[in-house]
Amino acid sequence: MSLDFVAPVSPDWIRLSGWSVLHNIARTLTKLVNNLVALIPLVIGLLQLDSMLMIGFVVLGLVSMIVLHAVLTFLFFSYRITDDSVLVREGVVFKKQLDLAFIRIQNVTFEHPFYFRPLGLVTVKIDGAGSSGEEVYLSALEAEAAQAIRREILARKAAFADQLTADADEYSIAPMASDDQGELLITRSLPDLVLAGLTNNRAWIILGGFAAVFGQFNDVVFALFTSWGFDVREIVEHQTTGGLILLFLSSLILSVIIVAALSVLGAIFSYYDFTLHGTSKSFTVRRGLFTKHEIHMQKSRIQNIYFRQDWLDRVLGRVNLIFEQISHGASRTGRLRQGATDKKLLVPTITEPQALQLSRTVLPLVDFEALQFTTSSKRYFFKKAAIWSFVYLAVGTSLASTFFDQGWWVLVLLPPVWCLHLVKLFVQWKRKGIAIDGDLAVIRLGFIGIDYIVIPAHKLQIVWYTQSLLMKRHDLASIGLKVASRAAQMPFINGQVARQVINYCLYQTESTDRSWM
Amino acid sequence: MSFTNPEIQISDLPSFEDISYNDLAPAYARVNATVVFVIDTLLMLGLLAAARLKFPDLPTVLQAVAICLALVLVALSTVFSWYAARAKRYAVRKHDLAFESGLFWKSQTIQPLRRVQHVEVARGPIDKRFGIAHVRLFSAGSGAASFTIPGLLLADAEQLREFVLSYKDSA
Repeated sequence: MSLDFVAPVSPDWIRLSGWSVLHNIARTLTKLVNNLVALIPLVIGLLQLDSMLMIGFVVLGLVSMIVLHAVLTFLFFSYRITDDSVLVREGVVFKKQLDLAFIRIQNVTFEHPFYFRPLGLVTVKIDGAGSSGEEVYLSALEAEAAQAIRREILARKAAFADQLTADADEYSIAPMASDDQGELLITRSLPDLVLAGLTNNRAWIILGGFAAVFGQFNDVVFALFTSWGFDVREIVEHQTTGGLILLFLSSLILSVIIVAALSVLGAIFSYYDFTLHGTSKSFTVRRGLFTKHEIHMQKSRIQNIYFRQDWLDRVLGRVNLIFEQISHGASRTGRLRQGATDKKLLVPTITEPQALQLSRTVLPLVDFEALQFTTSSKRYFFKKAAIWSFVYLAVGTSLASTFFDQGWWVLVLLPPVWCLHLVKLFVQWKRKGIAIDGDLAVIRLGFIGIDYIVIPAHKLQIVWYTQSLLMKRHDLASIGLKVASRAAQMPFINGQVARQVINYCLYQTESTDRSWM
Repeated sequence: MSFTNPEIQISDLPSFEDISYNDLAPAYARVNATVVFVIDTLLMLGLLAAARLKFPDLPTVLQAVAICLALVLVALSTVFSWYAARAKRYAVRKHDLAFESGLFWKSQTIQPLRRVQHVEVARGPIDKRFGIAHVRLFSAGSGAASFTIPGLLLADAEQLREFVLSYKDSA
């Protein structure tokens, strides 16, 4: 470790390099793309303007506003690193001072966006563990300065943790004072990424919300087509039924191909040149084509491991391994907000032995085949099947009566769909299972692909145990285990097992001092 | 990482099913039922008025039926909310708090004290009037309060908060 450059602890407020204007522009543009829906009226408005000159003026005005905003943001942004926190002053009109204490810092991430790469500059992203608004971007730093800041934050954080809990256990402190990133654990080649793109839809990375936009504004699309000389309604109306089905199928296949291609591109954009390094305390991931991401994750912060497998993954014998950290978007049902990707570390399309091997560097996980899973009662399937059958019956009768004369297609189409759905519910019910091994609770779920959620019992935040009167009569119960990253539920299992799992998990959480952070 | 796996007799572990729960303050069920009664009555009056405007010349029999139906609905929901409030109970153990609720779907939620990030005693204007308060416990991972015990006497609520805080200090 060299100490011959300027120490990052600064008594004075420091301004970022002027190049950070580029970063500000990029952030504004990203925000705009992410809010495409809001932009639609603007674009339509622009298209209505007759003169090219006017359009030019408006575009020029917008561009200069974005640049002006970026420059002002840069001018009014300053930061300071004190003994115990990172302070940030920002805001042109509304002044804001953010005080991010070292102990609350969760991640320090490096980004090498394409516009900084020729200059050799880095953007450091600092995530707080508190509310989701606590993130700081220090952009356009020299690589050494960025490294120094990261080292400083991690060292001070570790020192603080020491101070706070003199007898802290090995899990709560991850000093990481050195730059040693550990051994190379895994890389992903281009074919792997193509697979990742095909098996998981990552088209949204590129589409960024187009689908939603077109869903809402199909009148606009109609109008556009018409203005280009197509009369869509005319084409549709003058087709025979066979022609219509053909048209539908071909456009379906075309859109599947387009989405698949976009998805592959999206996977390559985000995971190009993927490398994962690991020490005993932390992981370091580098990935990305245009913007190079460098993510450091302390192993002690991992709340659960998620083995995710889509149907194509299953066919190809692959699995996506996700290490999940504290998340603020986790609801009781355990769905994660999209976009909170920095809180997760995803290793795309690896084999199951590879995934298990990587997991074992964090948690002592045995092979899933060796686990005894307690499955859900058949009454769970009956309940689900009854609810959905009722929905199909209600929808079917209302559709059939609405389209009175042409109601035959409802009667032809609905029963097969209903049956397929019942098969899906059946398989999903069969798949559901929970197993306890040592400190770990493993929940199995999925349809064709098999997913596993691995939760260390000593990191639980809350547990719950639910039964209806009818379930009580058969001694069945549903249980929920919540960690800081997600909530996992196991419905309709044997009541005695359910109570044992809850009691055992509470024992693991409450009997030891092991930290969940 | 050193990992040990000592054998534990599951049957010897403390079991949550043996918890004996405490009732909430009696005022809570009264407040709950009163609030539901007032809101539902206003709602039904609004609905009846809207129906009267929409169908001005409805036969008297149907009008009477509608009014009776409204009365029955208000009564049912008031009674239900009374019993639902009475079914809510809580328990304090050395290392966690437990909360039970539900008439038909009984649910027990257990919050280990070690995971509590902060505690809040909250009171609305109606709670204040009846001398009751809610205790909210916040743990990591979700923005909203994850564990709430409603309808405690203010003194009990504050005592509970002190207990949770003292656990944090000792841990």
